[in-house]
Amino acid sequence: MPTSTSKYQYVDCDPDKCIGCQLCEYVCSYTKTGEYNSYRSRIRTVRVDEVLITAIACRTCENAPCVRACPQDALSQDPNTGIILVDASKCDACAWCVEACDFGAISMNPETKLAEICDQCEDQEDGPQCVKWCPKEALTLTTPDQRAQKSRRELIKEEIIGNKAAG
Amino acid sequence: MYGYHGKILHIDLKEQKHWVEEKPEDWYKMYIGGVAMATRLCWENIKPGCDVYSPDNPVCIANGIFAGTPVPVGGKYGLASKSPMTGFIGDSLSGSWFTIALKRAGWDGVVIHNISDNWVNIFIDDDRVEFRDATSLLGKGTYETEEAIREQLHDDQVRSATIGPSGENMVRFANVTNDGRQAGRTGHGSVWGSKKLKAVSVRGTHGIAVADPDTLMKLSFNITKEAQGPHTSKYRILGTSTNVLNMNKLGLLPTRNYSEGVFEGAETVSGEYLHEHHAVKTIACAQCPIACEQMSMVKGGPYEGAMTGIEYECLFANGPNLGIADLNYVIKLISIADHSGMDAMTMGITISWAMETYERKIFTNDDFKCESHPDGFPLNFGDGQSAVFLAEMIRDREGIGALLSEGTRIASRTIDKERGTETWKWAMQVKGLEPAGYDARGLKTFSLGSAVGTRGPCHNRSAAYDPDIKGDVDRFSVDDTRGALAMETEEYAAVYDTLPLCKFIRRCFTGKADRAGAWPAIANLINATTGWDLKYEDIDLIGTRATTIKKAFNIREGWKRADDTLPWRWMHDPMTKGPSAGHVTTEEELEYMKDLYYTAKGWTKDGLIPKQKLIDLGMNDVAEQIGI
Amino acid sequence: METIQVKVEFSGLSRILAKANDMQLTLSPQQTYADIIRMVAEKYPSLVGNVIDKSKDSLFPSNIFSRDGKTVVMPEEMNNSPQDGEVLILLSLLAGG
Repeated sequence: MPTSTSKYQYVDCDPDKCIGCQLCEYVCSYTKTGEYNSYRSRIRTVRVDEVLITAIACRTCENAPCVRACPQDALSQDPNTGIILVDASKCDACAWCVEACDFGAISMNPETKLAEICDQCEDQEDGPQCVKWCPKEALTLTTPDQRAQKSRRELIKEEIIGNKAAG
Repeated sequence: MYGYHGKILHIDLKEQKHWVEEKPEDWYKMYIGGVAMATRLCWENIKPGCDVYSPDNPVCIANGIFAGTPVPVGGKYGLASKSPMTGFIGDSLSGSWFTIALKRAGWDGVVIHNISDNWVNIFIDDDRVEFRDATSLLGKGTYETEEAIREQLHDDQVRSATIGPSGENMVRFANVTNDGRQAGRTGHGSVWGSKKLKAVSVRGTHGIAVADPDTLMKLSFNITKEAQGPHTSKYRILGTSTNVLNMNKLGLLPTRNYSEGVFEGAETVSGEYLHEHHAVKTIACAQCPIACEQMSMVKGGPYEGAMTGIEYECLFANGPNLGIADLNYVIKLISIADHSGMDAMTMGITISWAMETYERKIFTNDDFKCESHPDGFPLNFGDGQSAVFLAEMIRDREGIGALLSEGTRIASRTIDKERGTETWKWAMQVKGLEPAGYDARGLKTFSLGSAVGTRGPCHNRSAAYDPDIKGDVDRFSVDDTRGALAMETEEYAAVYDTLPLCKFIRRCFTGKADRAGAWPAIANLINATTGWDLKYEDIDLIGTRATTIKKAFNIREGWKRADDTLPWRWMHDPMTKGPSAGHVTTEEELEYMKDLYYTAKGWTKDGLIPKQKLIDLGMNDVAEQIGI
Repeated sequence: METIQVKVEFSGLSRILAKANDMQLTLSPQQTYADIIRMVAEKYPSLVGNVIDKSKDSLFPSNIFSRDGKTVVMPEEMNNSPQDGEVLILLSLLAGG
């Protein structure tokens, strides 16, 4: 699986906790568009083989492939946050950014066909609304390094508790 | 109009055309959604007295009021037709992304008429309707069919309701599946099969507008958070299978075709055991923050890797009820039912009937001859492998599987006619539908609820076991409170089934699940969605109207007082072991309680509905047809 | 009689949370069902807030003590005393599926 090498924060989903309820999509589309429509959500849940479930939003890659792919220079990356900005006046709906994204994290507005990308709810006081709503706390705003630290901590717990249980 | 589109989509499979029916807001205020709206669509579109497999028995789909909004557990829909199992109303519910897509496509409901010349997959693409050739989907399992359609249409947000091979073969109790959940009971899959309707797929790309989105967000957020607390921990941690040991300890766990209520092997088929040894992942229905479904897998042995979601009702029917104490067989059996799209409850209870018939030496090995077993096989209680063979024969309608695929009522009548036997006495069914996993001999109020149920005996439509088990009444005896109790618990359930909301959320509004605790909160949710001004008593009316339209449908199909009955075993054959031993509901007790129930409902002694009663509920056209 | 014996059996959620099948209690004859709940809560604090009310003297809604699987200890009986040898099944009632 491709992984982001970014220093930036992004909305990450823990597939062990995600139950696939899709409430994140409702909350996202409502926050961004004022209506409930998962086609307008910047975060998407995925379910494969019935039990493999997670949610995907923009991973804020460094030197982001979507920005490089855009032939119209409609996409730019905020150097401080890594958030991808879409200039709707330049976007011509070619979808090259959608193709370029390894994570499938860019969606198209079904009516205008313009690219729509997670901006971590920059304009909301309490941050990403999907993170706030997620009933299982599966979503977190994190960086790859923070996530790695968390994984290491979990691994050590698992190994020690696992060894105790086995012993 | 907020929360609704005001439009019902009609589709004619034979003519391959569709049309739009506009409905006024008042119609929605009467029937709301889910089972009530689906039944009302049946009332308006079914030719009375029609054969269930004829062109005149349409498929009626009704969205819920909250589908596609953040209201927790509001992503359910109602599916209704005249039931092949009962000949009365067949109304089912399912949690589903299918209904959310349908709502986003701009429809409140769909009525599918007539019979297709060739196997068809209906594709509702917003306001466009496409009749797609389904030949390449034939033989595919339920989930497999959904995935294949998404691939064909190149859109992973397309949601489908499908039938599997059982529905194609017209197993009478086949069902309809979406996202691994089923509109499970009363045989919708065979109605779809009779229409050559393999799947209905939907892409809905529009947003859903509600009257007061800010309020709805706040209310929904609070309920979502509350739903992570102690009121739902039993659902979240163990799921419904926790009932195996509960029912066993109360002597109510149907064992070996309901001959006993205590199963000696309950421990190893318990929810606790399942949780520890077989559960793979807990998943949610659409729009649900609770997540109770325990996806479970066979670990080891010949069926290794078989996986499906395990619920109590399917578990009891294919475990204790077959005398099977090994979950590997139980999961395999349920996965056969789920993947081929048939009602795992009826399947299990039909196999248990066949097992008892075999142990009573009416069936012999010869009766179970099939291609893989030319000499047949034995079918004793506890024999998991034979049960798996038989489930596959039912799915394929092979050999005696063809007869068993009709359910216990038709199977027992056919055998009794052929062989002069009385196997009907252990055919566990009311109105042709097999009952739930609560032995009603030890639950007198629930025995009334089971007898009068419009779709047959059902734990979802009647919550009358609740006062029995909680000790509000003496569950082993009968008194004059039971009619009103059966009515109240039935109408309480009907409110949830009509909105629809999953009942597992019922304590998360205020901490109290009773009417006083839940109705004002539900009214707030409806009002924020629609802009209406419903009050406490209006919520009560939702349940009254829902049960009334269902009963009216049955009356029009020829329902008589004698149809409200119980399996022979529950009236004559007491259990010998456990806390509920020695009890039956006698005919005298049942008739007495039916009188109480009809009186409480304001119906006649014959159980018919007075004209004025219907007019008071605003159902004037129904009054004209069946009121007396 | 100096003391009486009561057994509490855990079923469903209570069993998972307590990580035990049952608990044997020795009581003085005047001790009550509410006392039993307190004793269970002391020994199995994981039940508090899920099966047992935070006050530790009553059960959480939809949880019941079933006496021998036959009758239910109703809320108004919580200050009564059990019989010697009584088996109380702690059930988390749940419908559906």
